[in-house]
Amino acid sequence: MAGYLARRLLRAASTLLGTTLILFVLVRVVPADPAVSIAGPKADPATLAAIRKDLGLDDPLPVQYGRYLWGLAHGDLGRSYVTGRRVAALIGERLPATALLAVTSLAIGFALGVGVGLLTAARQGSAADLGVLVATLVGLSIPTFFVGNLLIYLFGYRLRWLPLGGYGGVRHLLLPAATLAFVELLFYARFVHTSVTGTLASDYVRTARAKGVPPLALYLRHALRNALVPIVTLLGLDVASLMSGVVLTETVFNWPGLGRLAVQAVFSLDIPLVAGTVLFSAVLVLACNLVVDLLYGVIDPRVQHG
Amino acid sequence: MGDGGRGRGLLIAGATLVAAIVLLALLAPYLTPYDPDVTVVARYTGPAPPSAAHPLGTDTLGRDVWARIVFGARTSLAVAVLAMLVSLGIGVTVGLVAGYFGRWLDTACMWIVDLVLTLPTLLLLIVLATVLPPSLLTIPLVIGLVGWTTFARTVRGEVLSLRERDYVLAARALGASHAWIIVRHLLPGALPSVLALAALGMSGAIGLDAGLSYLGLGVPLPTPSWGRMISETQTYFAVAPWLVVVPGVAISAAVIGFNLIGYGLLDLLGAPRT
Amino acid sequence: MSARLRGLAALLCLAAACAVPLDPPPAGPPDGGGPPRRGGVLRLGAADDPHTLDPARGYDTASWSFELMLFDTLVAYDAGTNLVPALATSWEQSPDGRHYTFRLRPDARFSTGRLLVAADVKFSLERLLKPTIHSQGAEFFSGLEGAADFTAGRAREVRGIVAAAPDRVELTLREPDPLFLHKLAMPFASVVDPETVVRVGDDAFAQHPVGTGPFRLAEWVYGQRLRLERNPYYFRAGLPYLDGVEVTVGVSDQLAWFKYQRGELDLAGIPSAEFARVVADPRYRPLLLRRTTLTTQYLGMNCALPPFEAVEVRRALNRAIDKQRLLALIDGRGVVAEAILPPDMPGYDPTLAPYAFDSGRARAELAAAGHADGFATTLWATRDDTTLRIAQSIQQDLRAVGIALAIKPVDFPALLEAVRRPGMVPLFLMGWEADFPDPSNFLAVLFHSRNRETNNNTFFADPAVDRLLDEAEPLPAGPERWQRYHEAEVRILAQAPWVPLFHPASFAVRHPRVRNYRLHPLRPARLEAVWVAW
Repeated sequence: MAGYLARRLLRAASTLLGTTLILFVLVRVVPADPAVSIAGPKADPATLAAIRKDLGLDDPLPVQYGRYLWGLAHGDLGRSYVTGRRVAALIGERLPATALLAVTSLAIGFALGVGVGLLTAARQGSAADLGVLVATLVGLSIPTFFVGNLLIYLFGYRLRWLPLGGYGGVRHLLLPAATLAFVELLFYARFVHTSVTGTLASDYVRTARAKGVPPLALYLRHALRNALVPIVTLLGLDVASLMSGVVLTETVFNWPGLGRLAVQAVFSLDIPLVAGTVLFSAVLVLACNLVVDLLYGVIDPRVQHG
Repeated sequence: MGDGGRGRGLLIAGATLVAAIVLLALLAPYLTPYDPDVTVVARYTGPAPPSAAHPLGTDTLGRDVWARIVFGARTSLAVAVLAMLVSLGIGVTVGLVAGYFGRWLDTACMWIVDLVLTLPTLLLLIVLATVLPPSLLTIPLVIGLVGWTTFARTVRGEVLSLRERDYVLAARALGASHAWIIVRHLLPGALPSVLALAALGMSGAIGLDAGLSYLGLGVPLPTPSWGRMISETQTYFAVAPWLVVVPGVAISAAVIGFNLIGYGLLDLLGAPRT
Repeated sequence: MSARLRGLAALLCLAAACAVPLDPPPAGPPDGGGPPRRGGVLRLGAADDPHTLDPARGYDTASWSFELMLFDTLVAYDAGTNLVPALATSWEQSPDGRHYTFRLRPDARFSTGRLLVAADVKFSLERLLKPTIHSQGAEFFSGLEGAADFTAGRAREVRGIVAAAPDRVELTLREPDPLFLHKLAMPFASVVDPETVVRVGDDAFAQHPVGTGPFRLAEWVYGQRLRLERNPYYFRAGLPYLDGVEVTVGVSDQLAWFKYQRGELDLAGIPSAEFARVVADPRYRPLLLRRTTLTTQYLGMNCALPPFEAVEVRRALNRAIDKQRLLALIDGRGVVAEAILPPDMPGYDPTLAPYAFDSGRARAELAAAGHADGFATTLWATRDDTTLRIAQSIQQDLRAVGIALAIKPVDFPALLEAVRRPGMVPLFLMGWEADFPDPSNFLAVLFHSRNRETNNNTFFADPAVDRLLDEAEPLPAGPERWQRYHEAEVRILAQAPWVPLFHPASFAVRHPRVRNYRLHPLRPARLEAVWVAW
């Protein structure tokens, strides 16, 4: 096990290296001079040249890359071009809000989603099942930002039950979490339903049923157990993406999360900040994948980590 | 075996819906006298509600909404299907190979998956949008190239658990070739998850198209696409609700149609044999 | 109707997919209320945090709005474009135009309580020229004597800035510059507190600004809000009336509108969706604010790239575009532009309109230039909704004359860089806002051939125009100056490197309790004389 972990960590490190390399190349390809971003459109060539020299933008690519990696090794993510503040600080101050929203919406959405999925799988073929199917499909086809807008219009503006956006306690968290949880719910409900019905019909489960295993135990232990592997996979990917921020929801509800920060960084070509947010997101994805792979072994003992 | 009767029912319902949409897309030029890309009102004073001349009203640039819907069917369908095919093709293949062969091949495949997952999609899209000439193919290709990882990881997870099953081990002992085992035993086992994801992924692709248009990165202007129609007008939902409702209904219909096909197939194909 | 009932009616409207009627603005008398009331907090919304609060670094509207509240300059604009005393009570200029002597107010204090002296002015201006600051304002003051040596590190100070006495500053230029006083009115030339800069460092000053302005920074929670409070040491007696200003950050247009109608914000822009009905609604009329700046939005053509090398093609494009419809598509927020200079700019000529909209004539001109079958080209534009609507309107017009236009939405920094590269961008949509009320800020900056690496993005080069611009530059403000620039403008328009599109107007609505909110064509509103009636 220790060997497996060590190998995976090494792999993660090499992936991160690959990510930073791709990032560097991508940024070079865009025809935008960071010096112009900093000094503005009316700057003269002398100022631009001075900035480029100061930031080391004229050095050969491997040198710049090496300098960046050196900084990373010392925990220095650099400074934002646009505001001059340290990237680590910028990311750090958005973490609590992002985590709060991610955890809340995932908890609600996942729990409700799995519940609905199991229930409808049990009553497969009934009118309720079909009704839920159509409802979830309609729900999934509405873009998230629109759901958010609608919710804030109804509950924030018209009915005045909840505040109009912003960061705060339960009242502020309710609408953005509900928007995200709504999508999570539909997604997991649909997925669980399909996975479980597929497993229920399998000979393996039918054999167990014939052997007289009681229905609830049958359901939970056998059907769900087998459907758990893909569900956990998706959950892992979901956690990573939620923690990287969900820009559309954050924009609609004025929630100070990482998603908006990352998108703004890309649109203003604020390279150190872009690199910082991409790396943070990458680390999250790799960590979640590692946890998921380890969980495979727990869920399904037959899985061997070769 | 699965429930054949219900499966057929779902399949037919879904296929009908999708066929209707495809028909709309194919016959688009004959279904409307208006050019969807051009302002057709004589004087623009804002989006107009449905009227005799414009049965679904006009949009925020004075274009006929019905015209944009039928022509938008082409774009939305093309983008969603193309993206889905690319994702499925790459993802399922990689997942099967990685899960089955294991060891260094698995490690290599998962390393690529991790790399693609950590790619800054938005940055990639912006870079591509800046350096490539505006084209209809860029968006679905990118969505597809970036979205296959979910399929890969899901399929791989399934295969990892399936390959140790008794029937697989038995087949191996009997000398079946790798290809035979993959196609006949593992693929059907992973199929429910894959089909479910594919069906859900269609809605995802259309939703992504909407989100990208919202951020300004969608198909080249002024090509209509249902996702863009919503993102362009969503702030008008109180002032001109038909602008949002109409493409919303269209998207729902497409998503429902594809999903019904998916579930119909699932029922017909049934569960893996033991 | 009670709020509850109105809400229900709205929901029913939505369910029936018809428009929800416009809600009234917050209640209260929009004017009157007697002499200015002291007290209250003005509540504003902003889409993002300002990039910086450091005058040396800020060069966008958001940063300037705050800098105007926190700092002062030697001279400032009155309600129009005339320069009046601010931190300087009076000034004299030498006969040769190169020396300026400013007398400073004896009672100006920083928000820390410290009295302002001439050495502080010298510190602030020199700071702009410091190479490590990378100030975008440096180029405006590079004309000071000794500036080049200082920036290059050859001198420890700028010779041309002398703090002759605690209340007297003397500035010397290498050459006379009729625009120098305007440059001193720019927020770059704000006086900053040297003690704070030394204490927190140049970089951190952006988050801990200290100046002599009517307000000081009380709190800044990044991504959420900024709070300014009254500067108790402000030199204008009795001002500001407001206790403070509270800015909620991260508020989108849509959200700002909701908050405004709920009475949570005192000022908001009008979303495009609501614009037509708000402007037509008598309940909103007294609350509407309309602002024009010295700005022109235009379609730029790359004169060095075929097929736009041919002046006939450029003129044809000028005739092909329907500017009235374009303006209608952006809700009429502005006036059509037929020339380069905006109205309110000295030297503006309202009769100058060389190209009328005539699609047929455009087609004929293109055919005569050898493009009877049309051609394909690409338009680069920024990604926002308004710009893309303009782009699509132009796309339709050009299609009607046989030109297939592909639209390429890019981000602003990428656009800025791309238009500077010769041969990269054939057509682009941009706007230009003047920094000072002088035609040179448009014509010389954008069309002089020596600026083809910086802001002359159409790569326009005409020796006759260069000569006119060079002749006009040293002339003092007056008819002779405007006359030269006018001639230059006529010549430039004849060669049509641009299709001038429109001069934008921005609209906002205020809460009925807000009084004395004045809009300025060159600067964001200053807020020192604003008061709230309840």
